[in-house]
Amino acid sequence: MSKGRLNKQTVDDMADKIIRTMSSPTVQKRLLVFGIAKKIAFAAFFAFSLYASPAGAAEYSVDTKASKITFSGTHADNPFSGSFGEWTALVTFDPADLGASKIIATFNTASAKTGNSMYDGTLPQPDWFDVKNHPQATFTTTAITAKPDGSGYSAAGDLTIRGITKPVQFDFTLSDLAQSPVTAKGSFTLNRLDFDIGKKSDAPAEWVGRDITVTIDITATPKP
Amino acid sequence: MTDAAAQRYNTVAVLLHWIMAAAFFLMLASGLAMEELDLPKSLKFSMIQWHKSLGVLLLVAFFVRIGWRLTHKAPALPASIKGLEATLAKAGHIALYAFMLAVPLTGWAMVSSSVYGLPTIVFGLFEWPHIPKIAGNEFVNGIAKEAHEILAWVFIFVIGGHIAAVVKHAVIDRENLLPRMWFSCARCKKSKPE
Repeated sequence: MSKGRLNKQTVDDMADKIIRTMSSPTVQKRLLVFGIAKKIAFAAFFAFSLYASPAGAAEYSVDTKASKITFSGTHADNPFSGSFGEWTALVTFDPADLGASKIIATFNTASAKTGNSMYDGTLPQPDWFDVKNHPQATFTTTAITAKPDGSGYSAAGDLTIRGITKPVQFDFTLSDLAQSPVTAKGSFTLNRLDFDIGKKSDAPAEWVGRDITVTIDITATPKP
Repeated sequence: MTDAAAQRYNTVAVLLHWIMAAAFFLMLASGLAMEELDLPKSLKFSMIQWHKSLGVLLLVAFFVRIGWRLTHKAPALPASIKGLEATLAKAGHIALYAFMLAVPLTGWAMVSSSVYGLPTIVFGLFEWPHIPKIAGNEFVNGIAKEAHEILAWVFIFVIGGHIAAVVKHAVIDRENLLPRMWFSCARCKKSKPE
């Protein structure tokens, strides 16, 4: 009655038909071709994976003790600076394969310290880093390119602070990759108001300057 | 001896009076300067922090002082001050105490409700807490700010009246009341039996 209903007769007929078709010389030939194609495709895919996967580019482990991520700006016309005490970074870098190179860094916002108890008491508050709601800030590269003049590299990426993501771009230089550890240095300036940092307290930047300079000084060793 | 001593405030009261007088002078002067003058930012910022620190100490000092005042007898008013003058003196002193409490309190409320959320670190030594539950409360901050300013201005006039009264007694009544609020009392010594 129903379309899906199968009786034994139908099943036997179908099996018979399949066996007969499969054993025909044309089908046998086709299957052989398909098998070879499959092997080639697999090999190509494997080769491509080797080429494109991060495993091809060198992975580095960052020595956060020797590295420093600092931020600096002005308050009441006086300079201030601080750094992140806790952060991690996954670095994959190969100058011959910049497409596979990547940096993913995560910062513990509560670990940002300036050494000035006045500022350190303010930074975690809702209007600044809002550490309760946003315990982490992240940076992920979207593209790493070599500078045409050979002076270093340029990293473009997404920076997320207080849950707000903005594109940033900065140049960095590398020490000799043949010698371990490798150091990377760079810096860029961001507008704190792009991330709503201190938006309620001081949007006109009367006290705290709009521009915050982030300085990156990373020491890393290639993973074995 | 008791008669002599009763003609002046005791040493702790005298110390508290003059130290707090000097401190309030600095507070009112710095408050006016911050409000009225276009100070360089860094100076203004340090001045605010310093004003907050001294304000905390004055608030604490108020309680020490009122505690001392309530547990120690103040010298009686000189016999020359009576009637309306005595009532005014009493009211004036109560007003002075009220402002000594209200001005620092409104300042504390101002800092605690400020959108800046800056901690109060007393002379860079220890952190004084904010009044809870009002952090960033613009409504409370508006009232506290206004009250702090108005009260400080009225306080200046009350202090002015306090000083004017001393001058009035010295010039018009030819009676120097200052020894009552000093460490020794020349007049009292004279009456002391040798």
